[in-house]
Order: sequence, then structure tokens, then C-alpha cells
Amino acid sequence: MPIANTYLDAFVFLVFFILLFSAGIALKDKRGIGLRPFIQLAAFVFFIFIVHRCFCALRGTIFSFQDIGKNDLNVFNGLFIFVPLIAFTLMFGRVFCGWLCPLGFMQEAFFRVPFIKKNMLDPSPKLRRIRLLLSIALFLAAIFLLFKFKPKTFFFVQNIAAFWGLVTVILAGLFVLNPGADIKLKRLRYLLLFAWLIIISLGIFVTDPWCALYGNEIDYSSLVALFAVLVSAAIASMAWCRYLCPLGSVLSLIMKFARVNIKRKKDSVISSRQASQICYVQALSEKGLDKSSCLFCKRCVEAGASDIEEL
Amino acid sequence: MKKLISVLIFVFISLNVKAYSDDWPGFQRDSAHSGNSSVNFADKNISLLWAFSPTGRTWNYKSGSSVWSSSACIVEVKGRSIIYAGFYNNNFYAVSAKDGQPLWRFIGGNRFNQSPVFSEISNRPMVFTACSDRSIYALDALSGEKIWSYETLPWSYMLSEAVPSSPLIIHADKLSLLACAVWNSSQMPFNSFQKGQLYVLNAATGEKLYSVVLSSTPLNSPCLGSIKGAPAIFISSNGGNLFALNAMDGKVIWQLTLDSGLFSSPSILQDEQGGRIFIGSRFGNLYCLDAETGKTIWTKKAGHAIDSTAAIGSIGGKAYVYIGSYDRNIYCFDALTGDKIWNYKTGDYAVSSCALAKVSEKTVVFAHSLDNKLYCLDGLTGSAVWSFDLGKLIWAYNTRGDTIWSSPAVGMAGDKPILVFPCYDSKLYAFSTITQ
Repeated sequence: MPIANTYLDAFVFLVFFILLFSAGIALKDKRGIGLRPFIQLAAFVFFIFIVHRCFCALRGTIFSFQDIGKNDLNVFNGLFIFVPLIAFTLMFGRVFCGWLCPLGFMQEAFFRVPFIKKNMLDPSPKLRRIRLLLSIALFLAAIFLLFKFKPKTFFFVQNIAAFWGLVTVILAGLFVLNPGADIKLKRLRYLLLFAWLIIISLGIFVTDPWCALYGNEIDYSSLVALFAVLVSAAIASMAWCRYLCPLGSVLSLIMKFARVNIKRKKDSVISSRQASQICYVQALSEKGLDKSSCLFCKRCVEAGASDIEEL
Repeated sequence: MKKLISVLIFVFISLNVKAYSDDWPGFQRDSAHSGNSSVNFADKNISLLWAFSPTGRTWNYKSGSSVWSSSACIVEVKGRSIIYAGFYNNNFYAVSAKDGQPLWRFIGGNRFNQSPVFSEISNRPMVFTACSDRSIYALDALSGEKIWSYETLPWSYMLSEAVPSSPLIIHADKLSLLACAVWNSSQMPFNSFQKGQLYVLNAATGEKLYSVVLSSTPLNSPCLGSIKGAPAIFISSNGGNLFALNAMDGKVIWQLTLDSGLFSSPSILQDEQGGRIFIGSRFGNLYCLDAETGKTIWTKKAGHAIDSTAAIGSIGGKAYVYIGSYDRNIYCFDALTGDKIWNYKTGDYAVSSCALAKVSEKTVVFAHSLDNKLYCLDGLTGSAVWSFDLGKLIWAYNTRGDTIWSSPAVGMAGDKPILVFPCYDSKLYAFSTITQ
């Protein structure tokens, strides 16, 4: 929503920072969890319906580093979101992932549907087989869409987002096959992040499912990826956030330096089923909390399984 | 009185626009960027006439640069039909339109990415081109001899490659002006700058009349219209601004910030109802603006960014706008109301600007898409009349927005109509009908 030639053009950045601050304060406040759905919804409406400049957090950042001294506007565009986002993450942890990200919000919405949630947490072989079949059907559907909308040139380069979507489906399927491999699958994201960064550094204009949420970067590849990511969330909860999200992977790397952290309570006893029900990204377990996967949604704190820890 | 002023403006623009009946003397043919030619192909059996390859080697090609000029120009000079085009190999060529044989070449200090412009100045045929070596050149159109050059910035170690626009010729009073934007940047520590500057020079001598810094980002190709009877230059910047300037002194008359970056150059439709500017944005909007005030008349949204420049044609007394988008479609809109008339889906990004001509006296649109095809579409219905498979890119991939894509041009090779397209497979293609 640019309001041409007025200071209100800064509105986008202003709202983004207000939302981040609100999420950070709500995270630290004991009763703040109640604000989470409102902040998520506000961020969702803001990102999807108001902002149309792409909040490109990785590709734009790398391209803008390459433009320092050559194109200040590009540099500003690329870093004005990313640098404060890193600063906020160092202060409040991954509040962006857990409280603001519209892609996370949309995936989480699947988990909030009682029927899907019940089936997803049910370990019975029959339901697991159904989820596995769903992942195969989704894989084939994504391949079909990829083939149907393929550009006639640059097939690989213009479809990287769709390939990442396919990988999400595969990893979701692997999780259904062997839920115990979750931790190993989560480690793959750093490898995928490395590949992602290499591709961008080569100058390739990589899109991702996040791009499809904006008006000005919708391409077929990111739409196919968004479709794959959203349906994957019905197979393995928030599969994109858990296994692939490049921005989430970057933020999880700097998480260890954050001033605010979430720590598993030693005296709190919960079953693995309870942990699965509480934590959408399966970071919470009977014994501990995988901090690198934690999205700071604060649900485990509310359930009494964890505490907010401030350095 | 208002009507009289409108008629006078129309006559002034016509003098600037329709100086050459069947020629294609510059970017999008004329100073209004209409891309509209009256050339008629006898039938739809259009086939390859010749292909000119400027160089056999491609090793010095850099990713992100163009292998062609943004579009070639086709003119008849002293009875000879000549095509002018600059290439990535630092060469600017004059090629015979009849057989594709090179007539002369001029070597610049860097790549020629932009379309040249041809004009006769003081009865001397001249071709003007801007180069990424920060200079604007005036060459003799017949011999290729350099008449003058204007260096926009002296060389230094810290300067980056310049990004020039296609030049524009303005015939005003007894003076011919050359307007050309050049973006220069320096990475000098503590004194770095990025300047998108519009230069207006005396076309005969190369003397600078004035220059104006408009943006820190590159500027697109300027077009000519008028505001309150005075000639006005309309120019857009990659930063998202559209400017209207007095052509005689460079004073900004109005400035408008559109929704996002602008890589499309403005086109203007000047008729009895006044002037209307058409420009596409990175957000995928096609804007129709009032030339006098910059106020929006209508906008239409495509599915993705619009980087190409709108072509404007008239069929049965109604004006239509033709434009390609990154959503792979080529669109036709009613210029007056903005109603979508048709869209034609190609196999990849439609990034080039359209060229309008006639086949069997019916208006057609020549358009290119990154699916490596050149299309000829019916101007009224959008149905495909003809298509041609071009070669593939000679580099592995492109970064979106990094490259200036070539556009088709239509002119005459003697008495034969000719369609010219400098392609990214390092060839300059010429097509014509078999029967003519």
C-alpha cells in the first residue's frame, strides 16, 4: 500500500516493527500467549493483503550485498528488513517464525483443524498408511503441476521453488514412514540452506513459497511450492518450517546467541503424545527441547512444560 | 481554444513522430514509443530472409548483459535500407537490410545494450547511440565515421559500467535536441554516488544544453509528448518514479511515485482528447495517466511484473494498447477505458515490447517471449497468425530484471517489408514474406 510521495510509504516498515515488538513483549509477558492469535492474524492480513513489496529475506539480502556501492536503493530494500530481523531474533529469539510468519500461520491452521490434528497424531498403522498415500498423491500432483506450468526455457532455474516444495513432500513422507528420524531430517535443513545460498550466490533469481503470498512475485514455481508446502502440513505438521525453510534455518543458527530463550522445565513430566500435541514442530519431547527447531510459539510455556529464560 | 491547442499539440507531435513513413528510426519506432508501423506484409507466409551473426565467439559474453540492442532501427538512407544495431561485443553495426551484409562497424569502449536512433540533422544522416562506456556517440549513418561523442563522466578506477537509455531526438524550432539518460555509479570510498541523469545535447554538435539528475537508480528510455503546448519529456526510473520535464530547460513539471520499480518506458497517446501515458510496473499494473497532470485515468493488473513498453495502435478508429508481462501473457487493452480485449498466453515471460504492423492490411502484433518464439498475433482478436522458433540463450540462466531484452522492429528493405529481431542467440534475424 504505497501512498505515493508521502512519509506513509514507511508504513510497511513501521507496522512490521510494531508487530515484531508486540510479539517480543507478549513473549516475555506471562499472559502474552493470549495475544498470539491476534498478532498472527494481524501479521497475516498485513503481509498478504497490505504489503505488496516482497519481504525477501534471503535472496534480496544476498543480491543487495552484491549491490553495495552500486545501487543503494537495492541495498536498502534488501537489508532494511533482514538486519532488524536478525537484531530482533538476537533479542527475543525466533518470534518472527512463531508469531508473525504468514506461511507458518497457514500451516499451523491445518494443525488447528481437530480432524486433521487427531489423524496426524494417531500412530495407528492404518492412518499412517493413509498419510503416506496422501504424500505420494501430493508428490504426483506437484509433479503434474510442475509439468503443466513449466516454462519452455530454464526449466531447472525457474522451478527451484517447486523443487523445494517437492523435497518438503518427500521429507514429510519420510517422517510418516519413520517418525523417529525426525531429528535427522531436521538436520538436513542446514544442508539445504547451504545449497539454497549457493544457488542465490550464483545470481539465480530463486523464488520460494513465501513469494506466492505477495502480489508482485507470484510465479508458477512459487505457487506449486506453496501448494506442496500447505498440503504437506496436513501430512507432517509444519513440515516446511521443520525441514526446509531457509530463513528459519538462518534464524535457528543465530538462536544460540539470543537474549531470550525457552528452556524445558526439569520437574515437568509429559508424555511424548502430550509433547506432540503441544508442539507443532515437534521440538518438545519427554526429556527436553530442541532449541534449534523451537519457533517460540510459547505453547509449551503455557502448558507448564517450559520456561522463558532471559540472559 | 482548447481544441485549437489540442490540434497544435497533435501537429507538433506528428512532426516529431511521423518524420519517416515506413522507417523504424528508434526505440519503439517513434518519439511517442508507439511501436506502430504502417508497413504491410502481403500475406502471413513470413519466413526467414537472412540471419546476421555479429561474432562467432561468445566467450566474452557476460551473464546479465544483452547480446543485442534493445531493438534495432531500420531506415532508408540515400536509397539504401540499413539496419543499425549494437551488440554485446562492443560493436555497433550497420547492416544492409536486403541481404544482412555488414556495411560498417563502430567499436565502442563497452557494450551497446540500447536501441540507437536515426535522424537527419542539417541534411546529414546521423545515427545516435549510447554505450555502457558512459558515452553518447553520433555517427555518420552512411560511413560509420564518428561525428562527435559526449562523455558523461571521465573514467576512473572506481566507476561501474554505465546504464544508458535509448536516445530520443526532439525537433524543436530550428534546433534538434538529443535526449538520453545515463546512469553512472562510483564506488569511491567516502565519495560514492549513483546518478541517473538525463542529458539533453545539441544533436548537431554534441554540445550539452542541460542535464538533470532525476534518480539514484537507472532511468528508462525517454519519450516525447507535450504539456500545455510545450514539448515535454516523460521518463521513468527503476526506483519507481515517473517524471514529466519541460524539454527545453529540464524543469520537472510533475513527478509521480508509482507502486513499485519501473523498468518499463512510458508511451504516449496524443490525440484530440489530450495526452495519455501508458506505463507498466514491477507490481504488474498497467497505468494510463493524464499527461498534463500525471493523474491516473485507469489501471489494469496483470498476473506478474510488466517490464516491457506499451505499443499503441488504432483499429477501426479505436485505440488499443499492447503489452507483455512476466505472467507470460501478451495483453491488448482498450486505450480509452482500460477494458481487456484479449490476452495471448506464451510459454514463458513476455518481456519484450510489441511491434505493430499489418498483414494483408489487418493490424498484427509482433511479440517475443522467452519461450524462444517470435509471435505474430491478430491485433483485434489475439489469435496466432504466425510464429517462429528462435535459438536459445547463449548463457545458462538469467537473473530477473538484470537483462535488457530486445524487441522486434518493422521496416522496409527497399520495397520489401521486413521484420527484424536481434535475438539472444547472438543472431540478428530478418523476416519477410515470400511473395513480396
